[in-house]
This record gives sequence, structure tokens and C-alpha cells, in this order.
Amino acid sequence: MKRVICFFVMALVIGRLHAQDTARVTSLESLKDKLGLFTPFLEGTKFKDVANLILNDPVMYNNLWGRVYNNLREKDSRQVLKNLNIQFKTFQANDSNKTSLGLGYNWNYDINRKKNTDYERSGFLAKLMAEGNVAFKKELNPLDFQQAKISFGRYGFAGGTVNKSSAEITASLNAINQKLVAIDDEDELVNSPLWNELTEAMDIKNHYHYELGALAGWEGSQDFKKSQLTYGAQFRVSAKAYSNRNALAQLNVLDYPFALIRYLTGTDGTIEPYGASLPIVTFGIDMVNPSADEERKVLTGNEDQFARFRFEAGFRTLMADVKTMPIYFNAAFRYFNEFNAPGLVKQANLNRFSYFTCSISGSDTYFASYSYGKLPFDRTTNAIYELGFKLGL
Amino acid sequence: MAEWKTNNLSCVNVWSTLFIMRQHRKTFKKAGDLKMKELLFYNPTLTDPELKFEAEGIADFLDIVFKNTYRAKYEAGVDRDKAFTDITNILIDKEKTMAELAEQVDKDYEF
Repeated sequence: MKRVICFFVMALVIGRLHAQDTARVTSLESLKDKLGLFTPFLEGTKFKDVANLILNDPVMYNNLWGRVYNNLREKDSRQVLKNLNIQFKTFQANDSNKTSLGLGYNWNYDINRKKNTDYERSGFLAKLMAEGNVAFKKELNPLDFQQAKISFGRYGFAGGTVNKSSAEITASLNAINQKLVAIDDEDELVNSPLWNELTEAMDIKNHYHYELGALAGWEGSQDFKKSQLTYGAQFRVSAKAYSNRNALAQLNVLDYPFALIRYLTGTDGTIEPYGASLPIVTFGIDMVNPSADEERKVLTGNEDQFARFRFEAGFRTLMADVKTMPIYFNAAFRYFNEFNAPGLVKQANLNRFSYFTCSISGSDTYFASYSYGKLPFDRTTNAIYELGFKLGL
Repeated sequence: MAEWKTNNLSCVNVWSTLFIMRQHRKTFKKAGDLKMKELLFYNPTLTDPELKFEAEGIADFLDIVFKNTYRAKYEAGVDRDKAFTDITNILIDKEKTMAELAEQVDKDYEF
């Protein structure tokens, strides 16, 4: 609606300019003269309202930031800033009609990933990361959870191996690929028996990726009124089965409802869960030092550190392929639970936090999302809306 | 715009391997413009570290297939870490296309 209003007003302004003076702008003075034409018009309209609409539109800021970011990521000398992502958006809490412009940010950097050693699939890793949401009117930020962390650990891959092909086999596989690339019909391609020939020759094993590490960091609200220091350990793992008919793929119980949808929509010919969409999961134990959490201090009368269990999972799968446009279901779940929390903390519901978010997305053309729950320091528990400004899903 | 051609083994092998990995279902002709955010692994609800973790899994598997199935060698001055990092950096960039991924693979691997 905002865009429609802005477009309408701009059309009026441009139309007025053309009606009064169609001469070209040839100098700064002539430009000033032309701008002078707007004065009575602007004074006679709700210019401020329009200006506010524009200035509060995250699309404009996302476009500007997109230009800056594209410039940053193309320069090898700015590796540290390469993974800085900022997304402007509108925040609205469910207990208020007011909205606030704000931004979500996240940044991560691998300190020592580049080793330039021989072929290795595991190693030592050190990382920095920061993420959170900042509303320009902080009282309207329902996602007020910021964090910055440093982590050290070990990463590695296991499985995922394929047969080592001879020159003859590679040549035959290249020939199969050439037949596949010549297929122009998507249904014919998906159902082609040539894929079986390819995968049987490759003999793909299940693929595992893990990361075990120690981490320390800060968590807090955007105004720093609540904050806590944390340290602990976490284990993250992602397993993938690229053959759907093995046991690991069959264990993907989250995908069974979507396998049924894919079957009913004619996307797949059988009800088969995807081993490639197995979720990524993270388990963590954190020691939390609530150094600046007044709310907790009032309840417990102290700033004693406490232990917390953390579980995080992410899942994405194909729901349907409609007229060659894939429709995906995306979800993430985050859960925090304090061990042996004091009774008053439990009564105040500050011992356990969970947050679920999901969305259905297409190729830039369709979007719907739902979020429920809260993270530590979030203000509300109920559904949260991010109003349709999710650029580039 | 990176070239997307059937006679380029980097393009064909990237397309074919990502298809086997269920990351997409596009015909070769249409897949060149496919963006990373349209692949199966690119879950927009993940945190950045989680998304990168998933991308690294894809990069590792692509490297294995290129090396073992298609008998690729690293180009001069390229090792496993460089190729792995290059592929990961493309994968996590939601606006990059499959053609751009293949272009990077072409720089790092000799098929």
C-alpha cells in the first residue's frame, strides 16, 4: 500500500512538472527553478506523511545496503566484512499497533579456516560471530536478543564418499550427463532412468558433518539493560543421505508429511522422505553469568551463574514443484532450559525459553511466515509479525 | 554473466551433482540462472553459522564427487582448502547463480 501511495504521489509530481515546464534541466540554477515549482504543491499536500512513509520503508534501506554490501563482498581485502549481513525490516509486537523500522544483523568470520595444507576433511577451527535485531524504537522490538560469541573447536566430515572412477567409467558418466543435459522437459528429466545409472556407478555413502567446540560470549538486549556472559560447549551435526532408499533417509520423520504432499501434488511419484533434507541440530551446555539482568537479580537476590541446556534445529524441504517453481517449507526451533532453576525464576517463566519459526517460500514470488515463542530477553511470547518486507528469501 | 554451456564440464558436473543431491530439479537450460537461495539447503530461518555449516557440507560433497567420480585435479595454486572455501562462499551468497558457482569451480578444478 505504501508503495502504491508513493508511486501515485511521484506520478502526480512528475506530471505537474511536465505540465508546467518541459524544458530540459541544463544547469544547477534551472534545477533549483524546477524544484521551486514543487513548493506550493508540497505545502498543499501531506508531504510529511509521504516522506515518513518513504523514510520508514525498509525496502529503500535494503536497496542502499545491498549496493554497499555488493561493493564489500567483491573486494578480497575486506574478508572480515564479507559475511556481514544486514536486513532492514518493520517490527510490530502483537500487543501494539505501532511499528518501528529496524534491522536484523548477523556476521561471522573464520579466524583460521585457511590452512593451505594437504587434503584434509577435519581440523581445528576458531570463529567469531554476532547476530541480533535492533528496532529504532526499542520498546517495539519483540525479538530483542543480541549475541556475540567466539568459539574454538574441531570440525570434520565423514562419509559422503563415492567410488573412485576409472578413466573409462568417468567417460561413460560424462556421456550419461550429456544425455541428461539435452532433456528439456522437467518431468522427463526428474523421471529419467539415467540418474539411476549415474548414482549406481557413484555408489554414494551417507554424508556427515560435525563441529564440536567451546564457546564464550555475550547475550543481551539492544539497550544493554539486560545482559549476561556465557561460556560452554556445543555439538552441531548434519547428516545427509543422498540416496532416499536407505535407512537414514527413512528416519527423516519430519519429511513424511511433505513426502505425502509431494505425492499428492504429483511432484514425486512415490511417498518417499528426502534424506537430503534431514535437519541440522545443535546441542549446547552454557554457563550463564547474569551480570546485568536486574529482573533476575530482583527475583533471586543474587547474580549467581547458572547452567543452561540449549537445543537448536533447522529443517527445510520441498513441499511441491508447481509449474517448475519449487515451494519450500522452512523451519527452525530453538530451546533453552536452565538446570535446577530457583522456584521464583520458574514462577516468572524465566527458566525456559523456546522459539519456533517457519515459512513457506517460492522463487521470490510467494512468502508466508509464522513465529511463536521467545528467546531470552524477548518481550513477548505470542505470534510475531515481520510485515512483508522479507527481501530475497 | 558467467557462461553456462553444455560443453563445459564444470557446468555439467555442478548441475548434475546438485541434482543428485536433490538441491534442485531444473533442466540444464534453466538451471544456470538458479540462485543459491533456491537450492534445498538454503533454509532462510537458519542463523548464519548454521547456514554456513550446511553449505560446507555441500561443498565437501561436491569436492569428493569432482575428485573421485569425475577425476578432477585442482588447478595450479589451488588446494582442497581454497576450493572448499571458494565453493562455500558462493553457496552462502543467496544471490549467486549456479552459473557463477560453475565458473568458480572451473577456476579451481581441471576436469
